[in-house]
Amino acid sequence: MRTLRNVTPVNAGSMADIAFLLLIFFFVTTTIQTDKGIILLLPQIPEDVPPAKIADRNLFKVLINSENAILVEGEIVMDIGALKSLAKEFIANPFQKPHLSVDPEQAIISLKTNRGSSYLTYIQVLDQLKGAYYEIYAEKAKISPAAFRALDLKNPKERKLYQLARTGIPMNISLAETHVP
Amino acid sequence: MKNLRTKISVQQAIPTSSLPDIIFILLFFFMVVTVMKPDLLIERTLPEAKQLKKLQPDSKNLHVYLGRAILNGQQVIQLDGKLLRVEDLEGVLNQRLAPGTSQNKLVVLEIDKDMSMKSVLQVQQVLRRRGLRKVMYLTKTPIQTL
Repeated sequence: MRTLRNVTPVNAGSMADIAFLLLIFFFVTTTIQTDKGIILLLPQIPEDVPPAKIADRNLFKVLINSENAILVEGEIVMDIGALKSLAKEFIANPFQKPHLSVDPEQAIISLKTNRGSSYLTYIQVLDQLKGAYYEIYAEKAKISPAAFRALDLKNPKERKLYQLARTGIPMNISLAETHVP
Repeated sequence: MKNLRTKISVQQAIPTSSLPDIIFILLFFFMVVTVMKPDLLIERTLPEAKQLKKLQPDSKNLHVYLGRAILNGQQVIQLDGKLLRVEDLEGVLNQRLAPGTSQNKLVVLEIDKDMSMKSVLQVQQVLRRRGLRKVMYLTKTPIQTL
């Protein structure tokens, strides 16, 4: 008796072409994510509790007015780039000057904007203030600021270094209340 | 005497039978890596900054765009491919997010650099009221010039 062998093979010759077409489609549509930005924790909505008293020397007031001029502790700062060193001196206070912060733990930077200020100026100022903190952390961890920012918190070794650098120096950047209608 | 010159036959054709497999592997790689972004209906140029942290892509992140609409140049917010006015943001967020689920969400703010702080503060006020306190201002890295 003869068995009927009737298995027709599927023509797989064009499989490569189909995969190629799909591949090219994904090549074209892919944008590998390289998004970067500045992280900030917004302040809580104030309850009816009166705000805690903060000694004036522990507060570093930065104000941006509607003309995008920057006022630091009541004095005009023309160059945004100077803000970083001013903030660094205030936080660390290496020479224990009486008008700067008692210690880094109590230092608070208060950033207040006007409704008319531009977002660009706000980001530039925030960038400088963050930069001041990152430089202090990086010095403590003995790495470069860029390396500090890139620390992976999921890696226990890098997390330890991160926490070590940050102990005693919390990043106190506070957005002051601006009246919003 | 025997023939000293033995013929060595060299196969010259490259085997191509594994080519589809290689291409499939490449294909799967790109399929996994690809993130489809919603079309931008607004114009926004991000500001430049240096002290940046990388954004960990996560589908739970909430992207809020603020800029001028391409169609009519009005100041609008884009949320998931839909345009809305700044005043309507709170209502839409209330609809979208179940209460109590928003604590650990990161809000990615993509804001045009020419926006005024007025609308930025309005958006932030809404986020604070919703308990969405963790924000990231998306920026560009400045191009290095020598």
